[in-house]
Parts: sequence; C-alpha cells; structure tokens
Amino acid sequence: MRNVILTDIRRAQSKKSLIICMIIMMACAILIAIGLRAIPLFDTPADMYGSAIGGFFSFFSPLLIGIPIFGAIYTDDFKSRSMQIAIGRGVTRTKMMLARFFETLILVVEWHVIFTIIAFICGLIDGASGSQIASCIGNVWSTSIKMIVFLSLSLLFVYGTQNPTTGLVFYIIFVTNVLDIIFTFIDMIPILRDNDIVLSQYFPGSACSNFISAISEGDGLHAFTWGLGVVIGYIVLPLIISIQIFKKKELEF
Amino acid sequence: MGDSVIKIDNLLKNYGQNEVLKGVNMSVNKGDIYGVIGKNGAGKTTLFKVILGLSASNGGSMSILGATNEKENNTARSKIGFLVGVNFYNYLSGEENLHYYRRLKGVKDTSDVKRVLEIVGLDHNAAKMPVKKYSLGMKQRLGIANALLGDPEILIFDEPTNGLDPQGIMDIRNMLQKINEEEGKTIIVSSHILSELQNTAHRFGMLYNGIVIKELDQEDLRVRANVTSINVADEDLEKATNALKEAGVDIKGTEQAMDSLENYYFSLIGGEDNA
Repeated sequence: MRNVILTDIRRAQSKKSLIICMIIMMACAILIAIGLRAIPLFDTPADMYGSAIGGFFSFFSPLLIGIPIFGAIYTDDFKSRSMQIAIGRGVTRTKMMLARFFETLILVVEWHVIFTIIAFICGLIDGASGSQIASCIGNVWSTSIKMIVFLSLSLLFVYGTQNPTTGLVFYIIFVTNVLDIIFTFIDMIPILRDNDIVLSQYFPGSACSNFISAISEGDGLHAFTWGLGVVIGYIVLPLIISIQIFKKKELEF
Repeated sequence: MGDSVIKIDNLLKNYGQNEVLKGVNMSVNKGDIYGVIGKNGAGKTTLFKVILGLSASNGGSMSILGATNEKENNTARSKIGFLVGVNFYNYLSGEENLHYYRRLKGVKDTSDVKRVLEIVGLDHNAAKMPVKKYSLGMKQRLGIANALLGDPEILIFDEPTNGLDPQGIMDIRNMLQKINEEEGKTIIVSSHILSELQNTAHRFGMLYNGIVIKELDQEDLRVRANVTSINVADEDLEKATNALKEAGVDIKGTEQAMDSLENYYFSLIGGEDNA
C-alpha cells in the first residue's frame, strides 16, 4: 500500500493543472496582501488582512485546489484504470481505496502547509499582529478540514457509481454550501421550528464550522469532543460505506 | 503434461441473470503459450478478469501457482503480468507510465523499464512521447511492456492484436513467441481469430458459450487431422500419384495448395523480414 500511495502522490504532485492552480492561488493571495497595503480603502491593512486573506483561502481553496486534487487522484485513476493493474497484482480493493483516500489527505495537508506559509507572508506584508496571523491561519486549516470532509462524502458517489464525474458534481455541491442552504430551509418546517430542533447544525458544513469555532473560541472539552466526533464521523463513515459498496461491485471502468 | 501454473475447476460467473462462465475447466502448464479461443462474447475477458481478481467468481475453484485458497491466489497474482485493455495515463510519456507502474509494483531496478522497452521494440523517441499520441499498436506494445515489468512468471494478454493491421499482428505474434522462448514465460493469450493463435500457441482452450468445450495441443491437432500431406510441384503430381498407387497407397484426394492470404500479403509488401 505504501508503494501505491508514494507512487501516485508523486504523479499527482507533478500534475500541471494542480501546480498552475496552486501558483494562481499563491499569486492572488500575495497580490491581495500588497493591494491592501497599497490601497487602504477601509481600515488599516492589518485589520483587513484576516478577512481578505482568510476569506480568499476559505472560498477559493476548495474549488481551485480541491477540484484539481480530486481530478488528479480519482478522475485520473478511473480514466487510466491504473487501479486494475494494482488489483490484478494482488492489492485488495480496500487497500486501493484507502491508499487513494490517504493520498487525498496528504495532498490537502501538503498544499495547506504552503498556504499557511503564504498567509504568514501576507500577514507580514500587511503588518498584521501575531494573533491576526494565527486567526487567518486557523481559517486556512478550517477550510482544509471541510475539504477533507466533502471529499470523503463525495467518495460515496465516486465508488457507488464508478464514475468520478458524479463524485465531482457532488463535491462542488458540497463546497458551495448548496446542501447547507437546503437544510437550513428544512429547519423552518413548523414541527421542527416549534420544537427548537435545529437539524442543520449536524450537517457537514455546519458541523465543520461548529468544530472549528469550538477550537478557536475555546468552547470547552465537551464541544470540542462532540465536534471532533462529528467531523471524524463524516470522514470515516462515508469511507467505510464506500469500501463496502465498491467491494461488491464489478469493475466497470 | 507439464506442471500446472493455473488450474481452474468448474468456474462460474454471472452478471445478474446472465451466466457468462458456466463451469470452466482449464489447466495451463508452465512454459506454455496457451491460446484461449472463442468468438466475441464467449467469456474470454471475463475469464481473465476472474483469474486476475478484477471480478469475483460465483463458484468453482482456481489455483494460481499452486495456491490453495483465495488469499494465496491473491499473493500469487503479484507474479502475473497482464494486458487487459489499455491502462495508461495519457498525459504521461510511455516511459513515465512504465516508471509509474514499476514503482507501483515495487520494482526497484529502474533499468527494468529500458529492458522491457527493448523487448517490445519501442525506441527512445516513442518512449518519450505522451501516450495520447500513440497509435493503437504502440499502446499494445506499451501494454505488453507493462505486463513484463518485474519479471512475472505468468503473462496474460487479452486480445493483444485487436484492432491492429497485419504487420502489427505479426509483430505481436513474433514478440509473444520471443518472450516465451527467450524469457521462458508462461503466456495465456486470447483471440477470436483462430489462425492467429494456431501458429503461436502450444495448447488451446476452446471457449464456447461460457464453457471450455475442448482443450488440445498442437499434436492433438495433427492427430485429429489423421492425414499427412506430401507437397510436390504441380508438374510432378502425376508421377507421384502413379508411384504411390503402385506402392499400394490409398490416395484420399489431391488438393492444390494455396498460399495463405497472410503470406501473400507479406510477400507483396516485402515482409520476408517478418518470417
């Protein structure tokens, strides 16, 4: 499995689309930081830094980095049918799926380490304080957690349909918070509203936000443990279900 | 009868209500080129997918390299190289693809890529070209090269000549024979073109409607014909016929030999090099 992960990570890392998106992200972040300093429209650059840079990474990272990572790992895998070569060599499907998931995890973490450095540099450009930079970096990492959760949920559709495009469509639906908006409307159903039942807090996007705010605002051990449990559940359960579904499927690609 | 490297008993495979393999029995001996013959839809690819663990069987048993259960079969699969469809990253070059699969298979020796490229006859320029620019024949060669990585004991090729021109077919056929003779590999190869395998394989399994209806070897083919032909020039036919009659030989018939279309084609295009 180690071979599979290392080999594929090496290939995915060198994908032009991923590198180009990465350079665009970094260049934009630096330009925003310089822009804030050069044209102080509202507050001081340091005051604007957190919302501008943190907001930029939160919004664009799942799309500009998440989609190329998804493409580099899952779309390429199904297109090239390299999984068949590994399975035909005796690697089990479960190991293959876990390998692909760990690759995703490694790539997301790897890129967000680079974003952390960029966020730090942007902070220096805008003269932000240590706490402002830390808050911005927290924002960057909270995005990475959301990305991992959404990528994991998308696996249900990737392996369920054996079609990475379906998975990608759902990933985009997840990261653009379309489902969360729908779920917020569900909360308005009279029987739920009248009984103070807020289902939307348990849905992926909200669950991640709650967990992140539990960390950043120090909401206590209970909130942290509960938030962590929900987030891990959202990562692990789809993975387990995907493995079970895919085990029984004929390889149709 | 040599040592059996793959032994299949009563193998079943259904896709829903559709029974594709209805009790396949088959035995492949070490060092053989085993030809799986069957028309399109006979179950050749499905049989290979089950052997490779890409598809689960619905019954029967299988032993790869003496394995006694599925776990051992799975371990033994690391000693199989195969070409079932085309499995490449189109944006990478042929060489990069082979290095990718070399690492995936845990082959540390980087020179193995060069070795397999030489065997399949893909030159330096071709190896450096992105796979998306490859012709079908080049892709098949690269697929065979991929199968050879890591020096596997058994090679499985599913319709390796599919879609190729006569020259490509002959090249692949010669390559298989070379790999078998020089590298000593056991090869299982499928085709729906009987003539293609007749001159290549040592043994044959005839798959029809999900069952291997007959397994036979080259000797069986000769015995089955029960007739030996003597080739004489046209102008000597009468003389030869009379001589044989005088010797009391029962001549069952005479037939004017016809050059095969394939030979004729290659003679026209100067294909002596391929003989």
